[in-house]
Amino acid sequence: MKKYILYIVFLAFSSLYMVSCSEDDDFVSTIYNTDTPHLSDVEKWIRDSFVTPHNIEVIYLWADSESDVTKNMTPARMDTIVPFLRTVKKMWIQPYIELLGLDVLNPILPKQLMLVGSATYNTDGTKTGGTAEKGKKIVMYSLDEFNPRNASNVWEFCHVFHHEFGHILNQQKEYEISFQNLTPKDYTSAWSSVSDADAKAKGFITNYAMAAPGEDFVEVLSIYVTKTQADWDKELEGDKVAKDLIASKLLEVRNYMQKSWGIDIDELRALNLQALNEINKGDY
Amino acid sequence: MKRIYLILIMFSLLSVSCNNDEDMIFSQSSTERVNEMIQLCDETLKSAEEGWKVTYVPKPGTTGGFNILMKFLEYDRVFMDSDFVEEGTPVDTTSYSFNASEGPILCFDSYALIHQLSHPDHPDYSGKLTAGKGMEGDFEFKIQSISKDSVVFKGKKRNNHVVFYPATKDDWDGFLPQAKRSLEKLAPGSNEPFFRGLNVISGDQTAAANFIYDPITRSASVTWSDPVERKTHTFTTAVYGTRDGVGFMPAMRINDLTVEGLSYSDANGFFINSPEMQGELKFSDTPPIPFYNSFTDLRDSTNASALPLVPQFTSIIDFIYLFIYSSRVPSAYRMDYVTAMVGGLKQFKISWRNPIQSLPVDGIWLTYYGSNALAEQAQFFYNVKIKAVPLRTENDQVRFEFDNLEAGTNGDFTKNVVENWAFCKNIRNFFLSPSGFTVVPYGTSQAYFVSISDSKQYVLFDRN
Repeated sequence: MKKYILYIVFLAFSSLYMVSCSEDDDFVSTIYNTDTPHLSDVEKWIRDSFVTPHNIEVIYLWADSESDVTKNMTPARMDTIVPFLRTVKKMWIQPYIELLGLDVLNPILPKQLMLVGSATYNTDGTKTGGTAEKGKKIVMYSLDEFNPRNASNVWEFCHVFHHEFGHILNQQKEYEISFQNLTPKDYTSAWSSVSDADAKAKGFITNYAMAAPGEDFVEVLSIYVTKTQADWDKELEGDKVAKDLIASKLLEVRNYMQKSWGIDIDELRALNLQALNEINKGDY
Repeated sequence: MKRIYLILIMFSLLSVSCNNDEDMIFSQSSTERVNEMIQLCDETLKSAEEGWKVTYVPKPGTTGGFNILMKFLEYDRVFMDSDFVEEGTPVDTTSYSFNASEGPILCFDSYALIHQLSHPDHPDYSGKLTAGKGMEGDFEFKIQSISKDSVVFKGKKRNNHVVFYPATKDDWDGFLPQAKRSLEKLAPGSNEPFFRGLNVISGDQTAAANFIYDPITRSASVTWSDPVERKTHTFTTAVYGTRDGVGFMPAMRINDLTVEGLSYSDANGFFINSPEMQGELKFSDTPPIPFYNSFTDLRDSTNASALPLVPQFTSIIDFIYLFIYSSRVPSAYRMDYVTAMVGGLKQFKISWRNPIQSLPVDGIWLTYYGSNALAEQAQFFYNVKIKAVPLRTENDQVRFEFDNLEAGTNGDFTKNVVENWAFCKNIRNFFLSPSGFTVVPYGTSQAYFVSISDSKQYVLFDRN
């Protein structure tokens, strides 16, 4: 056996000497367009506000290779991009900068943020608000519906961002398995046919939280850190058993954020609420 | 010996030869060719002084006939105007780009007018377009050929041909509002009868068809009959507006005559008056042609227990808008129908066999479906057995009669609704009207039941 290996090694080395390289190739200048691109005002703003400070690429023009060809979607309106991204910075990135500092936060932030104008429909008729991929990319849908003057609309986007960023955090540092054991039997792919009230009665903060433990985790996180204590308490009105279950889930989320990222979710919530409040007053 | 063979085999595997003498089929690499085509396309699009005119059919056979004017500007900006937005809507320039994902592709990469035709939420209240799909148009186009006279594309998803023709100054001057007005004239008013006959004469040849135009999808369902074979032919075509009328894409072919479009005048309505052909389009209370066997064709003999006729409604929004728009339910009962829906009655259908398998009574049934809660699927149903009485030998007119047999399933709720609520009685009275219905095919998968006593009363069913 050893001999064969020797033969193979010998032949492999000797074959290196038998390769001939023809020198007939003509080297011409690159076939790709290397002209300095003309940057629109939107592109300049994105470069100064997202690329330079955070190294986040914002994909706001239609990029077929980045999207699902089986879905019918349309690109976002150009005049929505900057106002939308301003609110995104204010209600998602800025609060985290204040808690973690830029040096700690930047490596955690996703590297791509993709914006889609229309909703994306699933086969069961539900719409997806956003997706997070491999800790590196967040896709946000339904920008056509963005209305900074409508507080509940802004809250919805804020909620989706904190939800998706929750996934990004989980994709980088996993949460404790004990979370999944709090309501292990009620996760279902048919979550959309369950009402929010029925979901709450089973210990889920929303019906979507029933989709999977990972969704449950980030729903608790994103709803807690974007609602006032009074509104959160309102969410939990009713059944005591369900209320206790959601409280246990919140404790898991609280511990995870503290231990894994050094973040006090109450501080995060205070900053988010302040940001939402300012956006509602037109300050963004 | 064995060892020598082994060495020879391994040696041959490891001997690599490089040969640069291959003949290239093309003189340039694929990237260079794609880049060249993109550059040529961009230059051609930008060079047209008055831009380009496109009559776009998003999904042939389903939707179509949208006129768009475009001007391609520096820094890859494009200005669009169209005949499907309100006049005076402010229009900004938007961006476009090229890529090479499936060959060279032109992509309108930020939201512009054309995206209304591919937006999944296109506002449609007729139930003809479903949420998540909209008009199903494209906004990415594969470049097929380029010349100063036309640039030909294929939609990336639908693969249908889209031709950009050079626009003229005249096109920018009033063409779009005129095309839009032509289509508005074609849309049937709420007081018009249901039937609309298209009669055409060319030399000694004549042709007649029934014409149904849907203004939301800008498509027409055209039916003509062959009296010798006693057969009915139905097809759909896209309708687009022109300065003086409407055009069809593809052209209509009725009984060997080809109709490319119709002219319009306030005095004569829609007509054809050319040296080769004369014709007119007129509303009528009675069917302009016999729809041979249209009623009997609805029964699928291969599947007797199928439920061939179901009004399809996808969401609560569809129901609510019925009251403003729908031609699916008789206008007099639209409010009833909305109330019925809110009350828990989800839909009604006609089936050819009792859908409750435990009740072995075959025959035609009018079935009401209901549920206790607004958001829930229909859980209960209630059957009314009816008889169909054919009214003429063409088998396209029928009257329904109550057969003195009713049956509910686990649905005391539905039974109560059906028996006691006024709107259910109205729906039943409509179906059991003694004058009966003419059954008119609509496209290939739907049929209208048009009341014979009043053609303004009709309901559209989907064949299931």
